[in-house]
Amino acid sequence: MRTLLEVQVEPLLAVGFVVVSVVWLAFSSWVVIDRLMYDRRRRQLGLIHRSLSDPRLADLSHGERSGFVKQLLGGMPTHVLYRLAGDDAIPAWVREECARMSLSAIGLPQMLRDATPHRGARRKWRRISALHVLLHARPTAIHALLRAALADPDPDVASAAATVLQRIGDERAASILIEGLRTSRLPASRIAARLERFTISLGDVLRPMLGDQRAESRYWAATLLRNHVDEGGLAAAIMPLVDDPDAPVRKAALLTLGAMLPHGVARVATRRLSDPAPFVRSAAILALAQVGERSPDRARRKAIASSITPLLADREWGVRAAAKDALVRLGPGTWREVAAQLSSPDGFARNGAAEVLQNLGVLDWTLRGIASGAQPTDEAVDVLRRALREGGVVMSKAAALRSKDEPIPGVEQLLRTLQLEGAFA
Amino acid sequence: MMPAPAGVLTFLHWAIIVTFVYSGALAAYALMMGVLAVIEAGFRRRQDHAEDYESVLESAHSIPVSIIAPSYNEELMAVPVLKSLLGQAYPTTEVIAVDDGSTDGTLAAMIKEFDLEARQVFYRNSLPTKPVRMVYRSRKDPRLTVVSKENGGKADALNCGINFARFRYLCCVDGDTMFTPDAVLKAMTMISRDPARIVGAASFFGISLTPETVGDSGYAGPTTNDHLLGDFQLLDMMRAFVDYRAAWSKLECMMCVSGGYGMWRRDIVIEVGGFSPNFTCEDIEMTFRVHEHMLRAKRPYRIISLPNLIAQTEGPQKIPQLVSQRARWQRVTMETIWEYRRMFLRPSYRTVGMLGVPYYTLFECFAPLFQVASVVTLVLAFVYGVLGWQSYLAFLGMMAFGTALPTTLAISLHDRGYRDFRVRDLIRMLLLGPLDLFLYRPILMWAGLVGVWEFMRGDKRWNKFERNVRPRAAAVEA
Repeated sequence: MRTLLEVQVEPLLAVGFVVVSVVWLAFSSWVVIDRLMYDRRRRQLGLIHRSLSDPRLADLSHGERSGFVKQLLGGMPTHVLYRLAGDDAIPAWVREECARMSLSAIGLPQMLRDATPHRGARRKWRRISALHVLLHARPTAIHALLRAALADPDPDVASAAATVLQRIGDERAASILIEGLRTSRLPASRIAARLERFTISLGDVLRPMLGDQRAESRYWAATLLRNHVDEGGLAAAIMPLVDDPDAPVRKAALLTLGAMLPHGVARVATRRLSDPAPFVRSAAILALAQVGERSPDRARRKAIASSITPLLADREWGVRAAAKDALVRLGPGTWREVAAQLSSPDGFARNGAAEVLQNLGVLDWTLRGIASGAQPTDEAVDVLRRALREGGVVMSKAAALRSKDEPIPGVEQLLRTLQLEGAFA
Repeated sequence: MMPAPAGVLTFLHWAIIVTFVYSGALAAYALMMGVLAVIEAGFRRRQDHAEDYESVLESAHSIPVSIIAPSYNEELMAVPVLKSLLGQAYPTTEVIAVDDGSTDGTLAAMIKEFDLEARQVFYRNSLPTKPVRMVYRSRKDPRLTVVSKENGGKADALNCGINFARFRYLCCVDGDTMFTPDAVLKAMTMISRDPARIVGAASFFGISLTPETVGDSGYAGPTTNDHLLGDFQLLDMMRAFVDYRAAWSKLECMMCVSGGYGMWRRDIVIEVGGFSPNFTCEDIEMTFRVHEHMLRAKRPYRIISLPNLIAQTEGPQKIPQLVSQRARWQRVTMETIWEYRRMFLRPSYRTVGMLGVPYYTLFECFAPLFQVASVVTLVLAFVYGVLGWQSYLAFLGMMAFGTALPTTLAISLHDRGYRDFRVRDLIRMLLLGPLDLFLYRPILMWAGLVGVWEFMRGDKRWNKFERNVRPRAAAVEA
């Protein structure tokens, strides 16, 4: 045994100690040196950034400017130029110069090759850099390269392609992204986020998709048209989708119509309050709330509230929550329609109505009225009593606590008078 | 040298060899994790630089997030933490602060700062919890809901918050952790690349003795603590997240989404029955449970760990507090491993069963026992002359620098990715690496032993440590 330790292990320990400590020292030194070099590069880049951001530079002729930039950036490694070409923090014309310099350093044929489908991780990042640089060079092949990149199974490549397409921002780029909503491995919502940032109107590109056979296309067309104004009968084209066989399409159509508010939206949304899909019912409620919120007609708001209140008894939590939010948005003028649900045989409807009345301020208003001796109507007092009963002890306690924030004299006594002493148990 | 009986000498020889083998296995493991961490960090760094965060930030299609912040007796930290959560740069969030029956002024501080108004809110009772006393809505910020409930522990408070949550993704945080404004954005951007499969995500958070400085207007990035214990804890976290969890993430066996900051998909949390109050801590157990649930059902899923430093949490300033905290961590690890022992080396649980659970069993559960046995063996070997003093010192030195290598690697990977610590902080952290074995490990070893003892006794206490002394607060009082 002793031999084993002495002969085999102990000499190894000394060697091991020397090797490990030298490795540690070298590695640690490298970490510090690497950081110091980085800081030095960053200072240089900061200097260049400041020089390039000088507004006087923009007044120079293209040739002079180009010469100045080349002089500044001449010593930069190609990968730094690559990065600057895609850096939003510097002026666009500087990015273009950087792209040009990268191109001249690498050459367009090589750059185009870099932007083609890749194999291996190293090539992948080169491809991404190349796509960013080509954005500034705009070769004729760029759309085709970006289409291929967007369809690439690698989400990093597809994501970079989506970003570059959004920055190109023309109709062809939009069409590729729209096609990518169906075909790309990148989640459609990430592509939609890029389409939302297009400055050109996408109405003409998206409109044909409303009639597409694929439900997915109809869904995204209806969704992305949400930020568009109702021009050229766009809303009329979306309206039929409210009765689409596919539930997500119905939802998207309702939300878009709720944002556009064309004539007839309340009618179609009311019809969808009984949709079999809960998220469609929620979307219909939201659309109606938007109509009611913007309508100056009190009677109309009351009518909308009447159509929404039965959904306080919906079997789905999400629909009930949407109904409660919508009724609060419609304002205190609709309190009678809400209060009617306090007599519903459904427990969800009763406590939902109590919660809405609380959030509308109706309960506090009535309490304040009683406390100030203003003699609210018997109806109002009855609604207060029933709402607090349905709301339970916590609701009465909350009312009492709120009265301390904005003092309502004798609220606890009042609640006892209303036989709601449980609130103070 | 003391003479020793032959039997003792034979035992010591073998014990030394076992110690070397265990250390060697640990080194091999660290090397493997290091290689994987380098690959993963490089990938994430490039991915991060290529990511278009702006489009996520401005999109109406970004996935909304419910942030749940339970707190118990966090009078000092509750308000700054909620401010850091409400200050998240992300399109749609709601913040649900759950006051778990605090006995100090936590609730009063929140009511005052956020102008809270009592409300009755009828919520989904998806998970059973202790009764809710009152719900408050902020008049200042409609995104904030504060729930006051009876004390039931962190798991119960999280479940209560989940009942109030409206959105599909939950960001579960600690009540003493301060977040950088991009904490949610960074994690959700990654999740939004694959929302169908990513059910959980963790991210690196640092340890600070005064984490509230993250919310200061002049905050210029993380720094070291200028306090040995604080810095050793920071390095510990950095090793855990930047080296090991990144590697586990790559191997698809990320075994702990920390309670300090964890993203979960609500539907999955509900499916598995919410956070369990039957364990000392809720985080590691939830991660194990989700793994088991998804693997048993053969459903595609991922739990990922991100290298971004997105928060600072408060670390204990004193050794007894640290021992108490780490003993709790040791205890919950053992509770969890015992509960999920059926996954141990079972191929049907893939890398979780074949790598994750065995790692936790060998290098986390039994680590304190192995460490104590190694120390005792080496001391006895030295005393009885089995190991010469030169060899003894060489071994100690090799261990000191060897255990510092993963620390150096973590510092290097973090710095190359984010360049956020100052150079002097980097040097301080690097120099602390070899001292870890002598100054910090013994504390952890002792804490581990305490944890093992507490586990054997069935102790389930949280052992919340007292808040650190704040230089600024002390100055104000003076």
